[in-house]
Amino acid sequence: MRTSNGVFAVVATEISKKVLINNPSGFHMRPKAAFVEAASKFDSDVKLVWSGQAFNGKSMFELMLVAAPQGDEIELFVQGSDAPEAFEHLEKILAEVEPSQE
Amino acid sequence: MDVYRGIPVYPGVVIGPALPLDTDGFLIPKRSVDPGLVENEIQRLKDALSKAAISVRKNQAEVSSKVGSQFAAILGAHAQMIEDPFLSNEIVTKISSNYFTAEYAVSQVLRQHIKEMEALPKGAMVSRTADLFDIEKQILGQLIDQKQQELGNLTSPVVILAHDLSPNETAKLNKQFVHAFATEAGGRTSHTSILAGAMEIPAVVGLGKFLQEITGGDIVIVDGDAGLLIVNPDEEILENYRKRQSQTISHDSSLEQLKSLPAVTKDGVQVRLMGNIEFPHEAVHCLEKGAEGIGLYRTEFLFMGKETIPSEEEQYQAYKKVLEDMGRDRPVVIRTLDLGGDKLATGTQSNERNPFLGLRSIRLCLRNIGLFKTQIRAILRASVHGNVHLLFPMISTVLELRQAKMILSEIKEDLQEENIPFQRDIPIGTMIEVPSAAILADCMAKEVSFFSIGTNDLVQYTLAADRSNEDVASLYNPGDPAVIKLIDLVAKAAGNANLAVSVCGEMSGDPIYTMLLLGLGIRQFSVAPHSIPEIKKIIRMITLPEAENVAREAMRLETARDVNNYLRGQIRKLIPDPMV
Repeated sequence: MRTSNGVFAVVATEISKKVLINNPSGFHMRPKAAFVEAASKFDSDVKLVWSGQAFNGKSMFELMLVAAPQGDEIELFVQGSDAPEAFEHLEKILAEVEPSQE
Repeated sequence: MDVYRGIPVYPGVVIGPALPLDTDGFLIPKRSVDPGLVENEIQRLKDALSKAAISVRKNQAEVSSKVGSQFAAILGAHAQMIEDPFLSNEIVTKISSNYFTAEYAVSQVLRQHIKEMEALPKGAMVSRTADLFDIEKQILGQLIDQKQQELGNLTSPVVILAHDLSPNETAKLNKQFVHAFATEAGGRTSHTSILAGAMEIPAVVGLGKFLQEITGGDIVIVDGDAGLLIVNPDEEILENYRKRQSQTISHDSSLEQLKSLPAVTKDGVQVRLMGNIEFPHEAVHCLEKGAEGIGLYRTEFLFMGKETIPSEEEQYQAYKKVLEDMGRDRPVVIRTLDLGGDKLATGTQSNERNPFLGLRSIRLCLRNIGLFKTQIRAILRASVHGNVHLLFPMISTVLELRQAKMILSEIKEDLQEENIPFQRDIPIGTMIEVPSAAILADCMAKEVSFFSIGTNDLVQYTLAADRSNEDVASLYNPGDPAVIKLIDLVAKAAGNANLAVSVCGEMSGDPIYTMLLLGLGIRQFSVAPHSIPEIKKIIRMITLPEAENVAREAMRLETARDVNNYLRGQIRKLIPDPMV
């Protein structure tokens, strides 16, 4: 991250990546619930960007507004002291194929 | 100051702080709290959120053990949302910056999200607004629960304001502190009104939307005489009402002394004053007010607000209780089911285009013989416990009356065969509340042993006017000459056939009509228990020739307005400062 005068500020690592939704039911309630539960265990900030909008990854409430069907991409941003570990974990949940039982 | 006009259902004036109640399942109105109470609202919210989450998780565990964890996962997601600190912060902000009630803030935030969700691209799947509605319901349920607990723990007098009150909620009201109530919904014969009567607290219903203007603690006046709700009254109005309040109190205590005196005119004509009841527990109340019997037991209230139709045994117990409370000799007129029109049992929904002219009351019973027979069996079985009279409502033809009587005799035969004791010569009466029955009163008289004139319906059907429809309500007037002529006709037919006739609508409890009715030959009045002393007072102040003179004069007049003005003038002569 660069400040306005071009000096690099000391910030925690931010990792981001676009993740493809593989679940046939899309990113629905159950993976969302699992995602929020996992995200809340880390210190890092977790953000999801979908359809041009950013959503707090620790808020089930905000994630309700993510309506990503199978084949959509969601960009995952993780920033903070435990970012690498958190990222690995959360990416897995996001990309997980889990047959729909709804 | 705001003034709302509604339907008065129990007289009296109360001035007090407002306690607005929100109704489960009803859109929460926009309301604010005093800025000093913001912290309190936030605390209420936090309690509600944590309780709601606990309850949803408990539910989740249950569902999980019953049908599997994958089905319960959705409830887990609900709990996550309820516990979501982002949600909580958003609601707290609404409360602290707009002074909204916790209820309204919750509903606003969630409705906003629901709107956003509805704007999402449809098709694929994913988010269901139903989840958010569910969550809203959970949180509001907790908040409303809190309020209801408060209702049980009141320590100072309040006036309850609500969209509507369920029988359940009304039953929780503590009469010591709930001094009046006012509701947006409801009509004169709705549950709420009837219960106000039973609780004897001033009440106004059918006020239309007003809750959004109320802040808890606002000073309000409930004027149960005129049917007004006045919010934040100015000093002058407040002073006027304070004066009226003190007058009412002295008026009440003078009526109290009448309790043990007989209802007899100055020249010795005996009048029978009876009470109208809806619930068994009110029988005692009638006795307290000096009623000589129950002139009308509206049994349909046993059926309303229930999931299932009450069994024969349940009905029998209710009737038996009333009879035992009233003692062996005092008559108890049990009216068979008068459901339909504006009184519907839970679960039934009328899709008739014109329910008041449709399948209601005795018509409904004659079509649902099973229902009717069960009730009549219960009444007959109970008849051994006291002095029961059986009354059929809304009879419009002689044939209908004969049909009803035939069913009665069938059941008598059944009971006889089964060796179940009952009173064999139980007196049968018919309501006269449809103009056709009034016109044919002489024919009806041959079929029964008493008449009961139900003025509420008689006025509505004679003038073809629904009084809950404000556009035509002014046509609805018990003082209308057409109504008076019909009552005269019925009283004469009853007199010729030597039949007892009573008047049991609201007209009989309105003091301005007492002299008129007495003069027309009515010797039996059945009124809401609280009206008994007032009517008795008037009866004891007049002679029969005076009353007959009033009736004669009134019969000469051609409009309801003239009749009412004349009758009001007469009663002012009697009581210079009447509370009417």
